[in-house]
Amino acid sequence: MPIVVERVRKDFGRHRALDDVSLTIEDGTFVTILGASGCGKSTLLNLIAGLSTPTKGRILLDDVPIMKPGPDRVVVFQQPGLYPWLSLRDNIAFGLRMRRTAGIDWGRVDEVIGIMGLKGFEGHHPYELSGGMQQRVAIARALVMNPRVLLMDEPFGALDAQTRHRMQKFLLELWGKIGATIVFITHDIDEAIMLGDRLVVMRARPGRIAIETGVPLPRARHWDMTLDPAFLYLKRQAMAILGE
Amino acid sequence: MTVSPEHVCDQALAIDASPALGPDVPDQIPSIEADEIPDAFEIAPRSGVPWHHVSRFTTATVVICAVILWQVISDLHVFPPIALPSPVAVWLAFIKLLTKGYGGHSLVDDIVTSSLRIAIGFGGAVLAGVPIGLLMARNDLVFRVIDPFLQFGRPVPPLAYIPLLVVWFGIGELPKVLLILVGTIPVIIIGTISGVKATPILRVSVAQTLGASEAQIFRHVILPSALPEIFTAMRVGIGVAWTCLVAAELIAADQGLGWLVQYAGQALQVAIVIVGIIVIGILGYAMELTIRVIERRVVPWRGHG
Repeated sequence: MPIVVERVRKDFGRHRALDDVSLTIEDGTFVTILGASGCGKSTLLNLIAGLSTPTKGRILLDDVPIMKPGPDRVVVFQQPGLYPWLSLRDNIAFGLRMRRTAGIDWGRVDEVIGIMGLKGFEGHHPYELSGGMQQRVAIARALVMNPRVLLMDEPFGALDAQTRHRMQKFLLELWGKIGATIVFITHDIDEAIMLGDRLVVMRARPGRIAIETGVPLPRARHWDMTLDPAFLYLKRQAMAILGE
Repeated sequence: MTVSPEHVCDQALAIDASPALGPDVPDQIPSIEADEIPDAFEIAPRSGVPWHHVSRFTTATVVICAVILWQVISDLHVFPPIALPSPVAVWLAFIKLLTKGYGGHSLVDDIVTSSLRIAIGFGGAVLAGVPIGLLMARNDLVFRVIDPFLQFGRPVPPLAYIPLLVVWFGIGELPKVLLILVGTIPVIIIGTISGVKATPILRVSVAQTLGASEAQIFRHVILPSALPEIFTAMRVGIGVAWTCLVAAELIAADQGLGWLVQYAGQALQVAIVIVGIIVIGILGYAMELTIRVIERRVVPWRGHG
């Protein structure tokens, strides 16, 4: 079942962050939401995550309004937000430990550690890891929950260009394997087009959706595609909206 | 120019005590002291340069020079020996205190007595203060009930309570322990509250989206996040406790280091007074170091975000 955003408005005091936003996110798609800073894209993500509630309108998952956060919609934030007192392995198992069912499936934890290329670092603490690795731990911590929806709020925004590039490639491969729905927020046009199945571009003050379109590129993405006419066409459209 | 690592550490601590909101930025400094606990008198060096050798050497030199200067001044009889006994005289007084004692009990007795008072008073302040701080930070009603007392009690110098405590409880152990408790507990409570409030919101959001309940977030996220500030409060608190104790013993006691200093002073036994002061200083420093060692065990991630 899709996520349905229905005519959502969100006010913070007198400031209107989002107005009349409607969006349907089909199961298993990779949706990128592109916008300048302050356009309300993170606000939209937090609403889907259930970290806040809409002022008006509603957001449905399986036809049920989203009221609070849940482990079926895990968020990866811009900063890794790891717990410095826990080892890498315990950080990844954190969500499983919070489940009130008995026992942690350590096999699953180690499987995800393998997928994320973190083997050999299980006992390390966050401050002993590089920024890119910390962010991989944050993604692993989300993946281990088997979420139906992975919400990513500029997860690579704080990384240097090279690490960022590697992580993008990695994320695409990963998505091919796990088949979860991914909602990915970014202000980087290339990143948005390169990663997304569908592209949503937002306009600011108040935040609204300007366009929502499919990305007509083959699923197996390659960086040569940044020269593809379809890519350039979308990029030109996005640039016009963002006013660059 | 030599900067003592201790000093640098204290400054870092002062900055660290304020809430840090952008928490998980990777530390540029490679971690050295995660597991290993360095010599209690030294902070592990952060570079290849063996600064700790330099600093240890400097410290020793300064202390030796000061003692020599002291000896020279007393030998020159600038001041009468009764006012400024020489280091040798102080050392002899120290030996005599250890072996024969003064005023009825030995130096060891006085040290044990004072230390026990601190252990009970300060221990009680931590055992009561941390839970009270946690409750206040978590529950608005509890906060509103306790905060006025805290705000009123905080600016009152603990020494002002001594006459009242003496009238109420005499000069036994109870008033001293109570004075330490009353003087220290606001520090612990306020440190605990500020530790809870300084929990980065991101850590809480992460736990929420991973499905943690309110209680779980408190136990698994907020409590560990508050620990570094609780330890800072304890380090400040032990100093306050020590001040309270010595003051209480100066005024109303028949045993303890404060009493020793006071009693010897009245008899113009300045050498003994100096021994007492030095012992008080060393013990206070040792107590702070003990907390620091425990802190490194319990909060090894401190300073690493």
